[in-house]
Amino acid sequence: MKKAHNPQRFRPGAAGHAFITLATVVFLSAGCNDAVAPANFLTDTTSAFGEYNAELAHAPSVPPAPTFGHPEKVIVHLEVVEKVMQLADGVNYTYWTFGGSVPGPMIRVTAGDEVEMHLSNDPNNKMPHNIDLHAVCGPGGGAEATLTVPGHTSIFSFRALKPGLYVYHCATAPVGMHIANGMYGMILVDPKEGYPAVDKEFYLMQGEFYTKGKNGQPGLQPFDMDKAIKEQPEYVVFNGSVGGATGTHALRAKVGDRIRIFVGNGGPNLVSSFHIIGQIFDRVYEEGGNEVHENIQTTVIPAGGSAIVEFTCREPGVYSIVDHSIFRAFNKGALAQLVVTGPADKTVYSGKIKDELFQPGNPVAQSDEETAGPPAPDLPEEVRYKSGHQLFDMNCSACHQNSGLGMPGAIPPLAKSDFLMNRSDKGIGVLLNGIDGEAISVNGKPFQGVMPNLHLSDQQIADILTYVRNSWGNKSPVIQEKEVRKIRNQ
Amino acid sequence: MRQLLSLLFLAIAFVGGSCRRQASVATPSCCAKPPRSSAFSVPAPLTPDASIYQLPGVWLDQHNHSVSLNTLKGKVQVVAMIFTHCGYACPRLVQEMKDIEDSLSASQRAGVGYVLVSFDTRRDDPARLQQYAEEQRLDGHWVLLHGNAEEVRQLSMLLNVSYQPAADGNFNHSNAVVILDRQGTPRQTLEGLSSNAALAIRTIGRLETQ
Amino acid sequence: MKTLVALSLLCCSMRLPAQPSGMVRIPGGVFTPFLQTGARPSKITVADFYLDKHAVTNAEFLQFVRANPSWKRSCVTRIFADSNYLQHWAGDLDIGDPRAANSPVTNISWFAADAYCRWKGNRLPTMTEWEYAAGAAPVHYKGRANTRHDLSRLILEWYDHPAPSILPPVMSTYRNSFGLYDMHGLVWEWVEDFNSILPANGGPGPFVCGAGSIGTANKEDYAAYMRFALRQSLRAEYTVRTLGFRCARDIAPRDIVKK
Repeated sequence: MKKAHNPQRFRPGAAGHAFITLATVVFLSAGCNDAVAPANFLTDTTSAFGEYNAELAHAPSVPPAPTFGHPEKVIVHLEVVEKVMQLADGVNYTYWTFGGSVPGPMIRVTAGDEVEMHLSNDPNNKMPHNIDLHAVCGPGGGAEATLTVPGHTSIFSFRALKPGLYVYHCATAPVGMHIANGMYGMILVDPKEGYPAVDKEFYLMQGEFYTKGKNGQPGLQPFDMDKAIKEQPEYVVFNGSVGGATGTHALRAKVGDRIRIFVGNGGPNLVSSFHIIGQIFDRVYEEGGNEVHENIQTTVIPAGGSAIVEFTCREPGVYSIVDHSIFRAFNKGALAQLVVTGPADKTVYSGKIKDELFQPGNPVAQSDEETAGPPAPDLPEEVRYKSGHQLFDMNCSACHQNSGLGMPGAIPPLAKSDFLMNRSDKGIGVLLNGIDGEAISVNGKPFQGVMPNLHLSDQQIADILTYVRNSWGNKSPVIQEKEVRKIRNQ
Repeated sequence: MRQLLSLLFLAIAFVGGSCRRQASVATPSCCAKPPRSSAFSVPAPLTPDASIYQLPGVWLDQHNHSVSLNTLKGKVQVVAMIFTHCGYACPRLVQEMKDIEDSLSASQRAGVGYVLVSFDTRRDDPARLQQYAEEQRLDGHWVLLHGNAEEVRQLSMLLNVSYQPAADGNFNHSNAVVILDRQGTPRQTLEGLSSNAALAIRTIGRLETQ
Repeated sequence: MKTLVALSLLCCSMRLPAQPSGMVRIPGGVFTPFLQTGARPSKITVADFYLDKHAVTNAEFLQFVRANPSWKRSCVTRIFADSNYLQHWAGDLDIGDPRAANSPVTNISWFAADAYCRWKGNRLPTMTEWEYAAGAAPVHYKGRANTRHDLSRLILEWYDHPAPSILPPVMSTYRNSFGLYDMHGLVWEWVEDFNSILPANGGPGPFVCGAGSIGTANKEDYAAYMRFALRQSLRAEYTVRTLGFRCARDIAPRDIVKK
């Protein structure tokens, strides 16, 4: 796999910064479009001080901010690669990519810069491709200038006139399919004075996939045109795949860090309701532009649009980043994670202090610990199983899925789960107490999740566990209420 | 001498940056042509390797004389593909070429030719082309060419002009005025109908001094 | 009366000479072009023509190069083929991997394909002819019943997968109802007038941007969009690893059945 960018990185401001003469002759040559040394139109009329190769970064990383006080000529090399990668656990997809990843690498320049794009189409690709950068002012955004057959490179230049966070994407017909296959990324145009300093910057991009097989159906899944036209994706993901920004790929920060996330939405169809569970954005550059709104819970990111969100985490924990069009998060993969480590601040967030029974109309509220009822009868397995099935559907299936397969990288499976089936407490402790961000391993895969204490009764817990321990290939004896009560009282 | 020249070309290619990957080393056994450098650095002089005059074929001009493209060699040529029944775009392309001609200094004019190639192999025979030249008041610097369908298609490929016959006998086509250097290599294309004679004149001036 | 005509057609066709070797006679018909530019009527009539049963193979192209040394890799004129011309071959007259002999020849320019067809006394098919011939339904494909819609899916499935390092041999995918092999699913193919795709109203070419949906016969024919986008991205000297060709031939006037 070739790298998308020139490995010989030229750091802006680094020693050896190359200054070129401005005596560039404007000369358009026909008959040799892609072959001629690029005719330099822009430097002919305005003053760029020097030139350097852009340093690109793959999500969730962000390239360093350029530090010049004057316009530069920035040379960007992007290569289009068609390749098979994992879309979800056991599910593969033939991605069409900029730079071998979805999203494509982030390009970062400064307003006023001249950008010289070199778009190469890998000789082994089958498709012609091109690039439309929303940061370009001109017909097609570069699409027409860069239509490139496999084995060729197209070059064009543009001036980054306006600061902001812009989507780029392939715009070769059928455009929707090129985007649906992963051909999008972002170009960040810093204002001349730069964005205010923060401690951490991340790159996150949403997109949806239309596979022939249903969500989770294993194997190499082809693109499904009918679902794409109906706008009914099987997957909605951050950074290119289910789990593309969770677990080992999660964003990581420390308590107190000022965080900025450059969020994009490649689409091709869906508008994102971007939200971080348990955070309020201090500032949102709406749609990636100049307008800053403060104290925002959820921000809309259109397909082919962006937003810049800024906030500070005051409390450690694992924060879920979701498309709050919430079935996409629970059922289709639109889930990323921000792991924040450091000391807790109980003046901001206490955690659960106490759990009390609430009985409307009953003046006496009793705490759980004080309840003591008569001994519960043992019930046959089929009764508990049936009740457990209903309870599971209400309380558990949103995360663990009806299939019991969970969500790769985020929610552990219950089906044939060694973590569940090998426990001496049969899983009772997990249902009683939840899991509070502790790292666990299920069938050899690491999870760092949060499962809430669902405040279920002993009977409910016995029913659910009887169901999950006897479904999807799991097999074990019925769990009775008294076993749950025994562990609760330990 | 030939070796010296090709060395010179190689050197130019190296300095100017080669725009094409080097041609595989020519094996003299089969190729009568001299070894090529694929130098294509503008505005350095080019090898004739990229000349469209390599296209074989015999054309008829407006005087019904057989000509090969190679007879255009030695002058800078301003070329467009048109058809004479064209009511809108082609007259503007011809006008753009006339503007170029009118803007050249007297000393420049002798070194520049103008070529119109017709898409319309059926209707634009030499007599019709002659009539068109008179209607348009085209002087002796102009050559109007009639070819067969195969030659016209091949030339359109080399000039990067798109065209498509329409049901009514006319043609849909892209609009381009192409400037060839004295060897026949395309050096500038003026796309569309927005006249840019000034740019063309600068180019012609540069090419004439090469 | 109808029977009489049919009988006379039968008689005529019986007197026809054998069709050119390796070619299939494509019966003409009425065809709705994918591209509706306004310059062309929404339906056009295609005359009978011959078309190669399969794409030209590496072995066949080698014969051509042997007979025409100016088309050797090391000799070819650069304006007629870019520097990737036949780059998958081991040498001027050496295909290299023997498994590739019966694979379609690729990495050839339009000029090379055009020259090959003329050397054989043939020509490249026009875009209209190629599209007409390629639109025929598959006769069999992976044992499934087939419809026009299935053809589109079949094509999209091919586009979904990267090309293998050695292309499969010709006649390895499917046969269509005209008796042609691999019209889709093996390689792209050059057509004589690939550079006839024009913008509708002087805008960007029709196959970039959202304008892609303007002026086409079927907005859901994604496979056609891809073919036309590829054609628009080509120039005649370009060579591509997944782009080959096959040849066509006019029906000789004496062979044309009088209607």
